[in-house]
Amino acid sequence: MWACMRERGKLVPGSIREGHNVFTVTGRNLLSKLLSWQTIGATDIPFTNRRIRWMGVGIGSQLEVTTVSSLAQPALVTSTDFLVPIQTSEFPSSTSVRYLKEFATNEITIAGVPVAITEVGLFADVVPANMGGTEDVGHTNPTDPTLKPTVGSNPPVAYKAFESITKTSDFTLEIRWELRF
Amino acid sequence: MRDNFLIFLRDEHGQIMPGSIRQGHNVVTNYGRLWLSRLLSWKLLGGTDHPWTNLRVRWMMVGNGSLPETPAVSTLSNALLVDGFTTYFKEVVSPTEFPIVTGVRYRAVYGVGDLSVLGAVEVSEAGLVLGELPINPGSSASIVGSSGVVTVTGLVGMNPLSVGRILGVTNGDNPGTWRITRLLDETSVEIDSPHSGADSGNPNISWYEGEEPGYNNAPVVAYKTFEKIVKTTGFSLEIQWDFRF
Repeated sequence: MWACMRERGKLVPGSIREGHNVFTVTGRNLLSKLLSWQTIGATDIPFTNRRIRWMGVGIGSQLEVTTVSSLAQPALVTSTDFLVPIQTSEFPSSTSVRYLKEFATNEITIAGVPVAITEVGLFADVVPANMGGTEDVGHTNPTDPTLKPTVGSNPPVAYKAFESITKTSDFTLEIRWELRF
Repeated sequence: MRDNFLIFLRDEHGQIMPGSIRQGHNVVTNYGRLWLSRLLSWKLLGGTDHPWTNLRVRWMMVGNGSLPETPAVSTLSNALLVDGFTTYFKEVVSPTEFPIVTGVRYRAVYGVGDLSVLGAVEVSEAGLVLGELPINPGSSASIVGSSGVVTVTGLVGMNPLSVGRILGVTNGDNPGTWRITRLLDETSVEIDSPHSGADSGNPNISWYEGEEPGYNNAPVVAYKTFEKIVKTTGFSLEIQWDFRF
């Protein structure tokens, strides 16, 4: 995971944070289900179609262990949403993927008050929920970004805590998250 | 985890044949790693999300050759026909098993008549192959050129990860099968042989996402080679292949 803030495109000195994430039990379970067909036949049926779709940030912190089940203290990105879609998925090498989200000046710092960001998570989802994955149908609020990610029913697949970065409405916050296989 | 690959023979009573057990670690190939990075990601988010790929582990393939277990392995050294005639793939047992929350087990059971239909065969390598059925139907696709570099365009909805074959069918066109040799962009590909059909403007193309059971050089996402096992019609052959995350 790599994060920085920018002011009018220029890197804010001292704002870079980087380090290894933890891939949670939820993420590992998702991988094992996503790789596999539940039923093989004339029309194959998957267990799940959920893939990494959202990013959320928080102002809390916790140990980076595989049992992380939520952000410690999630922060609203917009006035209503804790989770926002990932902007792009790119492939820096043939065996890796990089997710990118740039939080705009008016995101996170909705009220104009500085926010000290200390944690971030990746979340999986599928829209619409019922795309054939047998385990996706009963998923709670699968397309609802207002679902506060402290709720155990929406755990992150990957998590990272870091030294706080204070975002103001002058800055954008860029987060790049790379998974290598 | 010590081993994630297990293969053995069973007799007609279901008993494991002594000395037939082979086990060890596999290698996930470069193609498998590429697939994983695409599988976990969305290509487009919106009212209906679009994935980079829908291919999942669907088949196993065994052979009597051997290759160094490195990520560079692309396919088996020498694949064996399951039915003795046309099919190299064996479907994994569905539903897939999950021995632990963060792991998955693929199983394939070759019956007494499989592989050894024409006599005893040696088995010394195995691979996992991706697939999806039904075949993804093409629409308004066209073949451009009949010699030299031949391309197929207009493959709306084509999976950029697709390594499967293009099947030209009907509509006055000569039925044929071509392998994709190069992805040109998200709607066009280069195929492996000149197209001989007369109506190249509207050949009604369809294509597999994944592989055809009759293709012996299918790319594998994981590979394992081991000391040979001799399979005869007196035994079934079982493979258990685990991934743990």
